[in-house]
Order: sequence, then structure tokens, then C-alpha cells
Amino acid sequence: MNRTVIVLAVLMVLVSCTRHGEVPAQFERSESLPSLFPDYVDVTIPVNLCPLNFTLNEAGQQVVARFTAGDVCYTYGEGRNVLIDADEWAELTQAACGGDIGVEVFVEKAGVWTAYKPFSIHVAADPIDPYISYRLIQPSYVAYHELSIRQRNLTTFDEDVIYTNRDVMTPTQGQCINCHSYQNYGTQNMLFHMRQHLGGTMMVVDGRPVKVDLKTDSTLSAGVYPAWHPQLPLVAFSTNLTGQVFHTRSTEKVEVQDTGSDLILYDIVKNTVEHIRHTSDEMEIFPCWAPDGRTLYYCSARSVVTSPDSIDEQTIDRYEQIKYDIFAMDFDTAGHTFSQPRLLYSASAKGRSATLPRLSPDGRYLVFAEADHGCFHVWHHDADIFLIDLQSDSLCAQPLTDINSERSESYPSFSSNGRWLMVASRRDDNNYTRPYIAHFDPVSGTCSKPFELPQLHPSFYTFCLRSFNRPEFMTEPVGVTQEEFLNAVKQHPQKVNFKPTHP
Amino acid sequence: MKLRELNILLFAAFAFFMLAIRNGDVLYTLSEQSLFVPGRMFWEEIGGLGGSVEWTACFLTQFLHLPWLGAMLFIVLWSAIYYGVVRSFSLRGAWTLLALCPPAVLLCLLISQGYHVYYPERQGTAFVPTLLTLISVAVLLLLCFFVRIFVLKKKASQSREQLPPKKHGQACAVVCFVLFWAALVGVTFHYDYDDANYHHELRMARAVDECRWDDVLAEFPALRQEDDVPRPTNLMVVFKNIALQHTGRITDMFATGNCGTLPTVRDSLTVHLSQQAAPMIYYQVGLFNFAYRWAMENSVRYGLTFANLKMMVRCAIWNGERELAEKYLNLLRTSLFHREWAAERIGWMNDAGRFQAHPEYQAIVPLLGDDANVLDFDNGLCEKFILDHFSSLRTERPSLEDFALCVSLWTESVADFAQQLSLWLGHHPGHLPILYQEAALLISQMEGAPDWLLQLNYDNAVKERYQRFLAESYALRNRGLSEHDMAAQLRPTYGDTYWWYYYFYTDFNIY
Repeated sequence: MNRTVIVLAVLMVLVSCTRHGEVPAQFERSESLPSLFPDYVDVTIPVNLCPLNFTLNEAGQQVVARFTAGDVCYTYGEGRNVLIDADEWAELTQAACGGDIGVEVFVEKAGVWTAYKPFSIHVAADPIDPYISYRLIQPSYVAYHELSIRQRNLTTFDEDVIYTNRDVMTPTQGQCINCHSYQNYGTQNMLFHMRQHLGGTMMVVDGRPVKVDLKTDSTLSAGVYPAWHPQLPLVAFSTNLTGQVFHTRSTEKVEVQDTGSDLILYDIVKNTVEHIRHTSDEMEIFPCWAPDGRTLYYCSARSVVTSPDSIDEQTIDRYEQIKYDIFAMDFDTAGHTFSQPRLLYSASAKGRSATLPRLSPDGRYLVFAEADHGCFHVWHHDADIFLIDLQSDSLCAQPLTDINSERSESYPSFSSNGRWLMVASRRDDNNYTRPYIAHFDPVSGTCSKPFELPQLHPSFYTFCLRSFNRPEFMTEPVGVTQEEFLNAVKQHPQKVNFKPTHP
Repeated sequence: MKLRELNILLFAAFAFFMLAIRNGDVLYTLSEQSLFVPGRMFWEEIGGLGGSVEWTACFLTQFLHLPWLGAMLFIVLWSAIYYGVVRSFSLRGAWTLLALCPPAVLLCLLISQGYHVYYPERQGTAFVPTLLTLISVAVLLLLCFFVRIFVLKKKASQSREQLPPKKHGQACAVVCFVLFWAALVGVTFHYDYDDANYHHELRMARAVDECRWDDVLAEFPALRQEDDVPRPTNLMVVFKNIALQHTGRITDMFATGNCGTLPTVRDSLTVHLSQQAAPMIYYQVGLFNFAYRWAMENSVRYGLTFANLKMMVRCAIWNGERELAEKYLNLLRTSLFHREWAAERIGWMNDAGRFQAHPEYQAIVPLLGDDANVLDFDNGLCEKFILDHFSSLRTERPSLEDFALCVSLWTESVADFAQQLSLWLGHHPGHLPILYQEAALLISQMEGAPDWLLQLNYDNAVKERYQRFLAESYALRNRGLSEHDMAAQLRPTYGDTYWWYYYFYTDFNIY
């Protein structure tokens, strides 16, 4: 009996342990860098990040990688994959904190080993927020089925479902979920929307979930794109009349367009909404608060509709003329009133369209996505991340070239310490959105080469057929359980009251 | 041979006939409408341990790609269910016939689904009922085993000893056997979804997928335009016209019959072309973005399938989205029956010459217009979108203009046809095809028709035939015949003309 237990234990250890590949005794040297997937060559990572497992992105039967940081050295290799033990990785990153992990990659092709040019993984001493959340969604257009908002621990590979529509979907009644958002990186106050079946907005206030109906007779729609005030119980939303039309030839495939949009402010305590911007010739969208809560940034485009007839057709025909600029409004935190908007950045003057503004936590930098036209840059190949130094006089927008690619980059967001910038990028295949994270230098306002969100198995992204939508940093996991969310979803929504805005 | 074995042998033969012979096209379609990818991600996507039945069902469904193999698999599983029931209830003699009931129900379920094949509620839908039944029978068998061992062991042996001698047992068994089998065969045929159009559609879809244009056409004329033969569905008409276009015979559009109708369904299911075949239809006419879109939308709504994966690969290759094509090909390369297809496409991406030499490329490339990119939407009506799109085209590309002209006639857009024909005549000074003569002659008689239509060089035979058509139509109308009766009377003589289509095809429904 004892012998059996011992044998089983040994077998389990053998099966579960990491494969430490052996560096070949003989090899040829190559002057080129190895082609890895994900591409972790010369990236900068936070000290508290999970291991960077990777696979070969080229021909080869076997790979062995040697990681060296000071006195710590480990080798890994399992077929074409490099799978790193979590504890040993922590040893490596701690040893390399503020410096580099040296990586040598050896590849066997047809019995011949080649040593590629060594490269470094730079380990920044700046930690990253331990969690991010995203919506996993197939990159479809009109149809949707099973959707989930998930949270991922960046220090491990653990991923949990925050909320999924799986338990409320019926064959005839679907539920779309979207726009998860948090107050100041915390999860005690957060929200997400549910559309169609059991629709409403799930507000978590002081850790308690409440379902709210933000649609009133006086607003265009229920709340859409949200922005929590960083300190006060207020949420700015856009209200949108949104439609989708499809490109007959362009590989951008779809245009998500608004025919009208406004901004509203939801007062959680008073349960009221009021207009922030309510105009017929402007389309306001993507509100975003400054970290001190005294300024609201947003994007706005002039409507291209010239006559009240056939608004949809006019918007479709002139889709390339819809260009969004970035505006700012001062906010009186005592009286909850806004100043007149001022134009902060005119992308349209350059023939471009700026969307999705986000502020660095120190309030100095404004980052946003910019493309040729429109508001839904995740589908625009030319969309890139731009940055404005708000302390500069010129307020000149610069592309963050190191984080950008030839394909779509959108939805930028800073970590709570302002040292990491995450974007939703389609650089892998032009269709599926993946989170890429780059180290941000707050002095120079520049980024390092970004790394793709690491996964336990390096071929994860090859086979994953879902997009990572709206990646957001969080300082803590969501405390409300799926069951608690589900119970709240099944409740009747609390109807908000419309508060007319006095001139 | 014992009755127990005879039952299952007969059932196996019958099931093989019903599945592989009568419903081979359905089994193949089920395999195309499913997906199995080895590895952890697909396992988790299906639901992990909780979805193990679906995962197993998906694994088995891929074998339906070869209908005879799929049929054999079903037969093996149903035989296991049969023996499980026989053992559980210790059935003997004629009573063993009852054990055929579960497999018979499963067979009926499988062959009765009809158009639901396009609307699966879960992955691996073909095998799930069988696997669940098998599990239930296994549990039952286990329960009966324990009950027999621990509770009824003694009683059972006593009661068996006390059984009275059987009289006329043999005759009774024969009667039961005959009656049961008659009922089983009758019920199975009753539930078999034997709608001819449904099966034509499935076979045409496969032929289109495999660029077997002559086979597509061969499926179509089998439906003669006679009263006692069901009219083809719109989808069949669309597939037929695609095959005509790809074989350079698009002007035979109306001579081959162009009057589609709605598919016949036995329940409340509403069939939409968008779910049935929109990706393939859009693809075959060169609208790759719309093909990709519907492959994606249908995958999201009804689960990713081999058919949709292949379509997304095709569109990505045409669109030059190499990484995207490779992404989907990586999945297809892991499959048992699509790895060669995937390998061929990888070859295409590495060697454009091989792609351009393929019949699929050569069929579609003539339909690629030089039209600029625009924003558009189809409101879920694929056929209407294609008809509107091509009838509104004003092109002078020789390879495209005949298709556009014929689509204008298909939609009866006489103004579009007249404008397109004027462009066509600019560089086709020779003989006007009969179809265009028929249409031009008809339009030339309409109020406000352009004068130049009357000046066209019509064949005398066409003019005389048109006069006869008009005269016979007036005569029939004067006799008080209804439109329907007039259509039927004139069809044998004029059913191949555009005039007949224009005047008598009045129930064109888009779905």
C-alpha cells in the first residue's frame, strides 16, 4: 500500500513538474533574433507579472530557452513550447528587478541546433495592478450569444467570470452585456450594462449590486459609454442612437455609427439623470473624468445630416466625413455644474477622428485613439494611440509609436500608478482584439515595446476565437459573486428620474 | 439465430438504409454544421466536464462526413442501447422487440429534423440524444444488476421455475414480430423528412462547395416545371443560377426555370436564406465581406462549424488577410476530414498561381467588379440584397455585365435592364441572345420604353413566338381562365421564355 502511494506520488510529481530542457552541447550560432509567439523579445514587464510562456513561430522540432538574471538561471523547453515554472519565474524577476533577464533561445531543426541572438526581457521595478477585466466576445456584428465579463489576475494565470449571460439566455431571448467600468480602479463601485432580455444597468454601489433603468423619456437612450467620477457618486454616460452598416469591399468590414448622441450625468444618491450636453448638431460620446474630478473630457463630432429626412442614409453616405474632436468642460464638484465646453484637440482639422480619451492618474497625459473617421476605432485599421501632454503649451498630439502597429489600436487605459498603458490591439490577425501592455515613462511620455497579455499555454491566442473587449485595470478583484449578480439581474430595475437642466 | 439477434440485425440494415442511403446528404450536412477541435480550449468552450456529452457528440459528429461511417457509428451505439435494454429487463423472445423502441425513436429524431439542421440548439446535436440515452441505459443496467444481485436473486430463480409452459409461443412471436416491424418501418418513414427540395438543397450546397457546377445543375432540372412536381425553392434557384453563371450559361436563367418558392417545413420553424446559405451565396458572387459576416454571425448564433470556418478562410484569402486565414486554418488542420482542404489553402497562400488555377478562383473572379467600396446592409435578406446589388450595377466588364443583366430580369427591373442593355450593346454589335431579345421585345411594348428598343435586330422567330404568346394569352383570358390556370396552360409552350416568367411568376417571396 505504502509503495503504491509513493509510486503514485512520484508519478504525479513527474507529470506535473516543469520540463527543464537541456541546452545542447553543440549548436550553430545565428545572428538573427528568434521568432516567438507571443513576441516577448525586448519587452519591458512589471516585476509582479506571471511567466512569459511562448512558442516557436517558425519551423523547428524543439526549443530550449535559457533565462539568466544575476545568479539565477533556469532553462525550459517542451517540444516547441517554453513553459516556465511560476516560482522560478518569480525568482528570475526579483533578481532582475530594475534590470534585465537575459534570454538565449536554442532551436533544433532537422537534428541541428541553432542558438539565436540573445535578447533581454527588461523588468521594471514598477508593479502593475494585479487585475484586469475584459469582455470576451466573438468579433461578430449584429449577432451575439454567450458573452462574459471576466477578471484576470496578472500575477498568475487565474481568470474568473464576473458575469455571464449564459444563465439568463433562452432560445428566444438574448442578453447582451457590455461597458464594464470601475470607479478609480476599485471594484466596490462599478457597473456594466445588460441589453434586451432582463435589460438594465448593473450598478454596484459600496459593494451592493442594484439594477437600474437609465432610460427616460427625455434622453436619447439608456446610458451607454460610462465614466465614473473618481471621487463622487456620479457617472457620466453618453446616450447614443447607434447602428451598423457594412463595407462591401474594405476589410474594415463594419462601421458602427451614431446618428445622434448626447451626454448625461447620473447621480447615484438622488437616482436622477440630467443632460450634460444635449445638442442636435453635435454628437457627443466617450466621457472621461480627470483624476481630480474637476474636468470632464469627451469627444464630439458635427452631425453630417443636412436635412431631417433619411438621417440614416445621410450618415451612411457621408461616413468618412464624421470626425470627432476632443473637448473639455470644467466641473464644479460642489454644485455639480459644468462650464461651457472648450475644444482641446481638433483632430478634424487634420482630417482625423479622435475617440476614447483617457487620463493618466497624475492628470498630465491624455491618451486617445485616432483614425481617419468615425468613433468605433476597433474596426479601423489605421487607428493608433496618440498622447497629449496637458502641461505643454502646444497641446500637440503625438503618436505613441512604440505601442502602435499597422493595425487597429484602441481603448487605451493607464494602470493606477500610471506606469503601464494597456491597449486593445488587433495586430495579431486584424480581427481579434488582444490586450497589449507597455511600460510608460511619465517623464518623457513614451512607451516601451508592448507585450501581449501572457497566457498559460502559448498557443492560447492561436485557438482563441474571442476578442478581449474594453480591457480595464483593477486594483482588486470584483467582490460581488456571479450568483449575486444573477439575483440582481432578475430583479425589476430601479427607474431613474430625469432632472431637467436649468439654463 | 435468436430473435434477439435477428431484431438488431434487421434494425441495423434498416437504419443503414434510412441513414446512409436515404439521408446521406443530411448526415454530411450535419458534419459540416458541427465542429470538433482536439485540445483543451475546445473542451473548455463546450463546458468542460459538464459538457462532456456534447464534446463526445462533437467528436463523433465529424465522422458523419462519410455518411456510411456515420451510419455505422449510430448503429453501433443503438445496438449497445438495444442490448442494454434487453439485459436490464431480461427480455426474451418477442419481448426483445420492445428494446428496439429507443433506437427507433432516436433514428426518427435524427431523420426528422429537416431544416432544423441549420438551427442547432447545441453543439453535436446529432449524437447528443443517442449518448444521453446510452448513459441512461447504462445507469439502468447497473441498477438492475444491483437489484438482481442483492434483492431479487432468490425470488427470480424461484419465479423462473414456476413459469407455466408456453403454448403457441412461436406463432405469437411471429405475429408480434411482423406487426412490430410493420409499425416500426411505417413510423420511421412517416417521420423521415423526405421533402424533395430539402434534399436537393443539401446536395446542391455540397456541390457548390466543391465547385461541381454540373452536379448543381443536375440536381435542378430533375424538378420539371409541371403541376405534379413541387416547385424549387428560392435557394435552389439561386444555386442553379450561380452554377449557370460559373459555367458561362447565365442567359439560360429563365429557360431552366426561375420560379422559386418557400421551403416546406413541418413545424413552426421559419427558414431564412441567411442561415441556410448566405455565406456561400455571397461568396460565390464575390461579396466576400458579406460572406464572412454571415459565416461569423451564424457561428455566433448557432455555434462555430466546419462550414463557416472554411468560409472564413476563403474570404480571408480573397481579402488578403493572411494571418486571419492561418488562424482558422490552424483549427481546420487539426480536423480529421478537413486537413487536406486546409493544406490545399495553405498552398494557395504560398503560391498565388495555384490559387488562380483553381476552379473556385476562376469561377468567382469574373464577378469581381471594379465597384468602389460602399457601406450597405442586407437587413438579413441575402437574396434581395444580391438582386438589388447586381441589378443596380452599371458595368462594362464583359464578365460581369451578363450576370447584371440577368439579375435585372430576375427582379423584373425593366428600367435597370434597359440601361444595362444599352451599355452592353455598345461593345456587342453582333447577335443579341434570345433572352435579351425576349426581354427587350417585352419592354419595348411598355409605356415610356426607350425608342431604341424597337430598333433592335430581333430574330423573326422570337417576334413570331412573342405574338403567339400574346395571342394565346388573350384567348385564354377571354375564355375566363384565372391567372393560375393561364400560367399552367401556357407553361408547356412558353415556360422557358422570359415572358412567361414576367407575367405569371407573381408569388416571388424573399425569405
